Amino acid sequence: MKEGIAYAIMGLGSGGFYALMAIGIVIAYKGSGVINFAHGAIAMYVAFQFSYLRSEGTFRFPWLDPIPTSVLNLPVTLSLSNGEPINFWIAVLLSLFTALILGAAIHYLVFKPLRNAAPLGKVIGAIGVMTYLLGVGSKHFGSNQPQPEGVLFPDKLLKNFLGLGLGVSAEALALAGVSVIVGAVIWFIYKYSRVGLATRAAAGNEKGAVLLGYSPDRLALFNWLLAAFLAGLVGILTGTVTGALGTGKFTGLIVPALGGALIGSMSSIPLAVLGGLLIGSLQTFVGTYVSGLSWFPAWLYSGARDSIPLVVIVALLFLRGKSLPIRGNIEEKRLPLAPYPKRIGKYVAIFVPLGFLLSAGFPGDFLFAGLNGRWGMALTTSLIAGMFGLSFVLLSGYVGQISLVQISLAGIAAFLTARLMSHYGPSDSNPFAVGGLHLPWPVAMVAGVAVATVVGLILAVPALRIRGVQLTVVTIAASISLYSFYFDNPKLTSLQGGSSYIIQPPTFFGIKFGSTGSQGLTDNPKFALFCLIVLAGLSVTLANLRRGSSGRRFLAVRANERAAASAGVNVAKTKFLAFGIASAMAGVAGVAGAFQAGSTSAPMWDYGVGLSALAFCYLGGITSINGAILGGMIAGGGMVATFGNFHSPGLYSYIPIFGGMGMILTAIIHPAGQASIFQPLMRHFGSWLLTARGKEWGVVLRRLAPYLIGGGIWGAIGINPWRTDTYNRTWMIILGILIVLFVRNIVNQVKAVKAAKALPDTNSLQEVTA
Amino acid sequence: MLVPIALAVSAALAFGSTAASAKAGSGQIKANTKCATALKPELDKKMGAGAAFLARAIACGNSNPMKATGKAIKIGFAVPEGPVVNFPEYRVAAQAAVDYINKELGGVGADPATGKAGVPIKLIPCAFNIMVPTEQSACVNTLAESKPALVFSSLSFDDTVIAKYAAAKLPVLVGTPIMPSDFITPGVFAIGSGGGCLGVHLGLIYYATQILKAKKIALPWAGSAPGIFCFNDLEAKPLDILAGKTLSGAAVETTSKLKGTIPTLTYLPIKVPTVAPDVASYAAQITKFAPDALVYSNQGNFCWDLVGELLKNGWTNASYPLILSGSCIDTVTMAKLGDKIKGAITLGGLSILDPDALTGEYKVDALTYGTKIFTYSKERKLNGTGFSTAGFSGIMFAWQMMNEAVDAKGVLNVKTMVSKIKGTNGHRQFGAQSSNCAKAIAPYIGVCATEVSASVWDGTALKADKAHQGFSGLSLVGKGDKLRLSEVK
Repeated sequence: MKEGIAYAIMGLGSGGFYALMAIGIVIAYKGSGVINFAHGAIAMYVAFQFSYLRSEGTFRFPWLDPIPTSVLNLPVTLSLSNGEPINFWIAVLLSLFTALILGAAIHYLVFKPLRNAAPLGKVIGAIGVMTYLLGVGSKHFGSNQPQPEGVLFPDKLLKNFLGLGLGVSAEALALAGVSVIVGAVIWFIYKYSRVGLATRAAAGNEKGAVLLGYSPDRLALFNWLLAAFLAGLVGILTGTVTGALGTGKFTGLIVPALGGALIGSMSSIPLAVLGGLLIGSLQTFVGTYVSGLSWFPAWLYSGARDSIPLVVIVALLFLRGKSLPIRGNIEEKRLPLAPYPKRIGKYVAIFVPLGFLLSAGFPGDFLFAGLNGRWGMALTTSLIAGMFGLSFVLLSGYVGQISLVQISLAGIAAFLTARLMSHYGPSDSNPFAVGGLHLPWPVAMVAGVAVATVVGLILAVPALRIRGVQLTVVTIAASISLYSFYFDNPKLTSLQGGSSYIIQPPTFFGIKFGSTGSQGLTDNPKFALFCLIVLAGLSVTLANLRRGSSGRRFLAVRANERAAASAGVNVAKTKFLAFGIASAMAGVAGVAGAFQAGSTSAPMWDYGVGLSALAFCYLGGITSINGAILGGMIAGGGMVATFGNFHSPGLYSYIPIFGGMGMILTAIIHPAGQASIFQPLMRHFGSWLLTARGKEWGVVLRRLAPYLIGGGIWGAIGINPWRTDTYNRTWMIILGILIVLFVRNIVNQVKAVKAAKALPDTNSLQEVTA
Repeated sequence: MLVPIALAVSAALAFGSTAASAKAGSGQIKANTKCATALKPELDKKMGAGAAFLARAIACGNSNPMKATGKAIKIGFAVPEGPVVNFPEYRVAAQAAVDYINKELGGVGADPATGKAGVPIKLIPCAFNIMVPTEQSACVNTLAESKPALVFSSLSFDDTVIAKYAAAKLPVLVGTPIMPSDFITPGVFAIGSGGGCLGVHLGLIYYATQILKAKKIALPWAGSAPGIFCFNDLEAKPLDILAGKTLSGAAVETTSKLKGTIPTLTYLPIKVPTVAPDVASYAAQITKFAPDALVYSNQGNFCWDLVGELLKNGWTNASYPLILSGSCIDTVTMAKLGDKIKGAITLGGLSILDPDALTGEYKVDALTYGTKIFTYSKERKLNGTGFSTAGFSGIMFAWQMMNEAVDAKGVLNVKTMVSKIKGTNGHRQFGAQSSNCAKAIAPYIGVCATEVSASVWDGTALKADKAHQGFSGLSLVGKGDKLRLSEVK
């Protein structure tokens, strides 16, 4: 046991890292009510900044040069010492300065505008910042994984520490010590300083703080600067404890830190420090010592370490016997309206055949050969992402529950379906094959989805006690645990060496509709038809739910749980119903995804994939069915991404940066998502297309001709003649036309506003309208 | 209403076809200056088939650079580039090799003696983000659409993708084989120097047990998907074969002649998770175990995380030798550690990053790489890694093999090319040990290069361990032995 204690003490190193991260997360939450998923990304950026300053004396601004010219440029990299390392303290100051810049930028550009947004908007904002920083980090630092410089007694080992028989690194203990000291200082600030007390007051009751004369914005700025400063401090101080730097590394370690913050109820600094240290210590104790004991079950080995945050959080919820506190806000905007879906049957009748025509084309390649190759796959990817998005629409859009475990539920359904459909075990041609019950695909699929639904209902239990962003943290922890415990656990899945379950193509009365087409590519139009039918079925189900009494109960719970309960709505039952149906929808999408891949393996169901899916669904519009479908179109690997890659392959590496900015802008400017913009436009254009004849076309073309020609010529010369990068001319022509039409539209709008103002009775009309 | 649409479509089609014909239009073969350098057939005998051709091509490229003309032969190139796994250097170096071939070596089918230029190569890159599950499969579709002569899979993280290339009837060269399908799929050729897992991991065990005669081995291993296979099948299995039993004493089935030759052999396996927050506890376990040797392979700097902790625990070369895979090589970190890691051994394919460590034609390869990569790659910081050399060498080998399958008119016969690659037996490969696809043994039928070489860190640089160059650990496993896919106690 002495050895076990020594390992637990060794774990205090990573525990110190988690504790420092947890303090920053709590501070950001106190300041703005944001669970800052980007905290690890900020620490990463500062850690790299420090490393590059100390190795080659370069300072990198957290942006890229968007001006494609060789004449005019935005500074990105400053060389401060001709490639030589710069002084340690100057490097520390510059790195912490970077952290402060990031903190201020995040406050002013992201969370100040989102201060009163719905919790989901803030979650998307944080994911947007994280994605942006990871993208910029990838561009700036590439695949480099420098060893960080040890700052706190880097090479010292305390041999036979406390007579336990093993050496303990002084750096690890020092980091744990620093976390305690920093925690004490921050606790003191919040306990006794004016700004700290004001922050606590605002966190408890923002209205009250405003009435006392405090500015929530300034308080939020202070807290963001402090949180970013601490993230920077972690990036510098963690040194060799967390090992080589990597752009995604600290983000991957955010969940245990979030666990620590939750132990502190997102408000208590000392408990957050304690929580971080405890999780780190337990992880090493269990992962290194306990798992090596002879009685420790082999099936628990995978995931024992990763599941500790979830176990601690769930245990805490039950021990406390009450929900975690929610931060106060002056006004919290609700989620956007969830539109009442109408005439869904008509749309299904139009779009399913149209989609099939798009994917299959006309027989014999007459006129139009259909979408094959990359486009065929992009279409089915979009349709499956749309199915998955529908589960978010129900759960987050209709009921206001932010669950990130949906991706795991999709995976459970896919894994079980694959296993139940499987026939043969390992053979010489495929030594990795896993045998199964050889059930027909509909039976296997129903069983898989049913199990996913049951698991979803079990995971819904915490949702009865917590909500909003805290549910997000619990469900992330659950997703990570499921990944380690189940998906990546060969003892449970029988998948060896990173292999996959192979899925035989499903058939319907002898017709194979697996995703593989005649050329061996993933572009079978029959599979596209299957996806269209499934998506249509799920959409109709969701629309009917929304229209019925269940839909009204969902929205009542979303608006105000207490009010809903007082109006006779059984909140627990409503939440369970939503979780159950959403889990089933995620399961169906998971099985469709596995059918598309022809296989399924653990990496398909990583929580990062789920985060990205939620973000795309939000971009599309999280409160509407159209939003989920549009979210599917813009999802990774979907139609829009494929179009972009096809026309401008060089833009590929910028996708995370643009994606992150897109998420932030959508959350701030248009939380209802893109669907609510496109919907009226499409409806108007659709009606026009149905009624327009040659004369109308002629009028429109005459009116637009100068803009089309002018924009086309402008695009043909490359939009910006001084640009130095490579580009696709066809794409530029389209872009030129779009820009010109966009500007024309704005000018027309301005003219219309001016004209309206010129009318004498407009004001009174506006007042009446208001 | 349909008239304007029809007009627009025809205009677009016309635009597209004009652009396409302009690209494919200039298919003439131009005469260049004749190169006086003669073929040296004795090189083929000394270094394997293709050596004389390569030597003359490089020499003539330097003295009489020749531009390729005509319709390009396409090579599809799949590469991971994203926020989590990001190896742009692989693509950048491959493109540099293509530019070098097209602008100096005369392309495919060039004849320096007559000054006849060949046809150029066009690289069709497809980058994928491993965090988007469909992207790797989407690359199969994208690359298949462009109808390439072959696909170069740099690093695959999806074990089903290779089968999809096979279904699309595309020959595949694997640059860095790490997934099981890279090794065992018919029609796939893992040409990466050192044979990826197969050559390197068996080589590590061979070096520890047969050369250093270690009997107590610390065996930390990477808990990633490729790491699981590489550890179980290519480290734990051969160690059990040598001991004649598993760690729990169960019998081992093998056809290897080395079975039971070291009955006292024991080892300590330690799984190092991919996102381990810290590795101090593993170093403590290893130190307590007091091994005769430590064998470790992981991604780049993850190796040095563990070594750093071992150093804190007082490791010196006198304690026990560190035997690391070539993937651990990071000269910047190693230089920082300097004398502290003096004596550390790395094992991998030929490294062309340091010309001074090489001799003869290999030195020419290294010098050529060092010059051309900086001529054709603008991303200077990406040019000094193992993956950049793998990208450059891989494309050079593809070009070598294409030259053997091209007719006088510059038309490539893909079937011939595939059978030539399949038949390589000691074939000279630019920047790598020879290609031996014909010698691949079941079940590792896709692995063409299993020979590895050792280097030793002298405190300032890696120096070739001249006594241990070009050896293979294949004898540690028997022909037809079953793959070991999971941990056996």
